[in-house]
Amino acid sequence: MVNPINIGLKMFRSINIIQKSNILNQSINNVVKNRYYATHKRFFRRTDIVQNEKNWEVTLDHRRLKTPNGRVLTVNNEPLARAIAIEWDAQIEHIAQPTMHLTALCNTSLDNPGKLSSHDITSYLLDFIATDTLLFHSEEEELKELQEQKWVPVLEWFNKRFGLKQEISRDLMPPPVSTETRAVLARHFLSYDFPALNAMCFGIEALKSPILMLACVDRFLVPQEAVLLARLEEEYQVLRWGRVPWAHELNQAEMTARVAASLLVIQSSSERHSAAKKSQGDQST
Amino acid sequence: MASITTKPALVTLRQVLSELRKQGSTKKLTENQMARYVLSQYRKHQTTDQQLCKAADEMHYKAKTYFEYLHFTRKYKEINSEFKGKGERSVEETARMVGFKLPHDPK
Repeated sequence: MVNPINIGLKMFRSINIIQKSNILNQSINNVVKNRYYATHKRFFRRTDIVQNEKNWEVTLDHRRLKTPNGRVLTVNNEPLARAIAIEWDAQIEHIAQPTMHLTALCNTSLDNPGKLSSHDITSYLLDFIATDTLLFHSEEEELKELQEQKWVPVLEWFNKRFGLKQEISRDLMPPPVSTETRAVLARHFLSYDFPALNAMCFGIEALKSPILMLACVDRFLVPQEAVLLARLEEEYQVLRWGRVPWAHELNQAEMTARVAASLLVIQSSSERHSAAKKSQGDQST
Repeated sequence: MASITTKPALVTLRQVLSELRKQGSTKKLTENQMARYVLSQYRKHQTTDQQLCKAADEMHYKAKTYFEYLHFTRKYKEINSEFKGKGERSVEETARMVGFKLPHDPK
């Protein structure tokens, strides 16, 4: 057994040493001070895409873009490859990887760092449904009215689309989810391929609501509307207490970008077959 | 019949092109591969944007999604760079703030 207090003391001592050396050496201090996380400067001039049989790859100045595990990043349709190329081209000075959601989603589905299968993701998403944001209505009168006005149409759409009857909760206890609901949604989730399911999981985690994400996938809502509905309570509080750009707007922008990115991946994977047929038609004309 | 040449669809096209102009490294849109691709897709689906006869408005929805992705990624970066912490002040800056000079500065 290692004594945790000892480790704490050691860390404390090493921090002390760093601080002392910083005072002695101003140049090291500047380097340490300005570096929060590793950033890369833009090392390429132009980005493009190449077709490799049925798959598409992204190139940065004739070098092929690779995933963190070293595999070549390939996607199975043209628009997505183009969007990734544009995403890299938008990194003017530094490459800000945390904001490149399309690249990240493709990397994750290729490398699969969590070693997940489609069934793992599906069972995770099925457990998520009981804690869906839309199923928890407030006890406060004014907010409840707003939630009923905005959320109930989406819940009605959900029940009608999947032929279900999902109950809602008025306190902290999650509402019951019937085995039939789980079966229907499991079939629906498993009809997507792995990259799409991975993207779906990403979008659901951003929205904290499988129902809203499914509404987006079915084109019932655009991402911006879905994010507004997911942040309904926050928006309600903002009306009373005021809006802070570095918290509320930042959060809204990030959530919308995440949901839109995951939607683009889902859409492009589900329309692959029709796209393949059309390109054949183009060649004949 | 839903068509990609309706007014809202063209508004979305303009928004996408404007975002591409703001983000890309090339100034001219004609050199931007995505702009050319989007325009060619719009032309291809001029009569109808229904793919597989599955649903109306499919391409338009996709264009809207792509616009929102571009727009909110840029907005996130802008807000982040505006409010990002700049770290601690250096000794010189702090000294100048209170009207002091460092020992080795000229008097």
